[in-house]
Amino acid sequence: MDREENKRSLLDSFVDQVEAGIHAQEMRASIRAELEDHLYNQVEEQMDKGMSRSKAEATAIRHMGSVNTIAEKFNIVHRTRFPWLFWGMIAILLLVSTLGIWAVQHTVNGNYAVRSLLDRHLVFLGFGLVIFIIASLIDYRWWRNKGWLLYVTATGLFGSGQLIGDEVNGTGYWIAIGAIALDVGFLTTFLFLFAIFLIISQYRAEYPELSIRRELVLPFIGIIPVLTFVISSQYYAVVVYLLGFILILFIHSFSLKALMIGAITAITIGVLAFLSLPSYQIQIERLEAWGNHLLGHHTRDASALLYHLQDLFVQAGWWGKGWVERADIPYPHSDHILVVIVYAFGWIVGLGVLVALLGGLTWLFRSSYQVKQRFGRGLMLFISCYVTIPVIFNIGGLIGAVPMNGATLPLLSYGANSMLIWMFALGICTNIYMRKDTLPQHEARWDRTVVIGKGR
Amino acid sequence: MKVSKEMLKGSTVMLVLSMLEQQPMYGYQLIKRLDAQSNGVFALKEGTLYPILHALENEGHVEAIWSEAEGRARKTYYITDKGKKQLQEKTEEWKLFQVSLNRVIGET
Repeated sequence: MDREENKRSLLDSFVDQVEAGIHAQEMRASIRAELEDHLYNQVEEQMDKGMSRSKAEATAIRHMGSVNTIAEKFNIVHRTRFPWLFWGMIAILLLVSTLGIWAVQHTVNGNYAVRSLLDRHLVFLGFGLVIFIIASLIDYRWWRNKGWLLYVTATGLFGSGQLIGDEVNGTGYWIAIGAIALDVGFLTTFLFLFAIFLIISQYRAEYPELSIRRELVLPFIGIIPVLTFVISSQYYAVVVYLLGFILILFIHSFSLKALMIGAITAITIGVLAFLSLPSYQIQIERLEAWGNHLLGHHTRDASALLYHLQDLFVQAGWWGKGWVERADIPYPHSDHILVVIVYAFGWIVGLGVLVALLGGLTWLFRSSYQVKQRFGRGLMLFISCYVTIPVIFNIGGLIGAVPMNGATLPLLSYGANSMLIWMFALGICTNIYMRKDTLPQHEARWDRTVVIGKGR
Repeated sequence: MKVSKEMLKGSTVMLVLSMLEQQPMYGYQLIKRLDAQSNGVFALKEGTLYPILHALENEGHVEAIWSEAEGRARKTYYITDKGKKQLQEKTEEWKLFQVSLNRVIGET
């Protein structure tokens, strides 16, 4: 019996040594299983040829090669990947953002110099970097079962905004905590979508075969946020939210029928809520003005800002007006930062910003499809799309393709809230990318989340 | 006659992908078929095949599924469309190399 155990342990000993040399701990079990299958196949073949078991095992191990070489080669494949190019693009955008805010403070008409925009920006840039680093280091799978917690947090945040927040410009609520102002609309949009993504991911993992009834029940958790945004007159937020919500259903391969029913229900409830509000007339007028602009019927009031911003773009020239001449923008919202940057530093910098932005987005999308683990791939794809939405709205608004909407470019705004959310989201993407080759594709409980691109 | 490690190293990916293009295989099966089809010329160190397969899987050139066979877990690899495209490129590269080499050797 002891001789039999000693003979059996020769293969185990070999595999143990290989396993111990592999740095990616979560890959060890699957690598072990694969090597054991190979070794036992080899042993069986040799024994069929008449070899004794001990000789067959020794032969099998000899054919495998050196333990150190095998482990080394596995470590080259299953190593942490660092997204240097992506980090470089983020750094460029943060630098440009800082320059832009400096330009806002020093070049724009008005009393911006006394508002210490740059100081505030630098403080929140610091916070953002800390959040980015933390999000990059936390295993993204830790968020998997936090969906309902985040959903309740977002609902609570929204409720707090309604109760104790300050309404700003007739839309949206801000909660002041000392020197910090929380933009409830911006924060809750992302939090709700992130929460719903996690909830649906968890649900799909538990129930891979969804009945149409289940498919229709799940989207209803998405209806409540629609009502919250419409009630607080945050129309841009509700559009972003709806797009994100449909995207989440699409990523999780809900049937087209469920997608359409969910989207139509959400939009219908949103429209009905919208029409019940006193402010809807103002929004209708804005939409009419944009429609007139598209048709070439230029009206002074409604499209004045758009034309003025476009004029500033044209006046900038390749090298900009510098920081002496002031960009005459009545109130440079964060969505106008790009205009300020281009006016101050020229088209060349504007092009650089666009290249960095589009390059970053391209990297996000391409990298998401390189992630084998389905939950990670879906989450990264969702964040990629979520980051793209404001880019389309911002640039689309500046060129008149969509109504002016207040969308800010990612990382290019002086809002503290957006900086924190974007850095958090991009930190999660960094973590997913870093781990993409150190995690097995299939995990015991989560391998059945259906994600676009790979199927079941 | 065996070929040198350096020559084999440069063509391993092409060999693995061309085997998988014939049919899906698990690692041991692939090694044996390769050995048989090449009359023993392409005899890889067996343990080093698996990192190559894992690298191809990471790059999206192959996919794999786990199943149970003979009481053990078994990982079977399939070539993907991306892998077929890679194989085609490698094959064309090899043909160019072969033609050019033959031209040089022929001239000497």
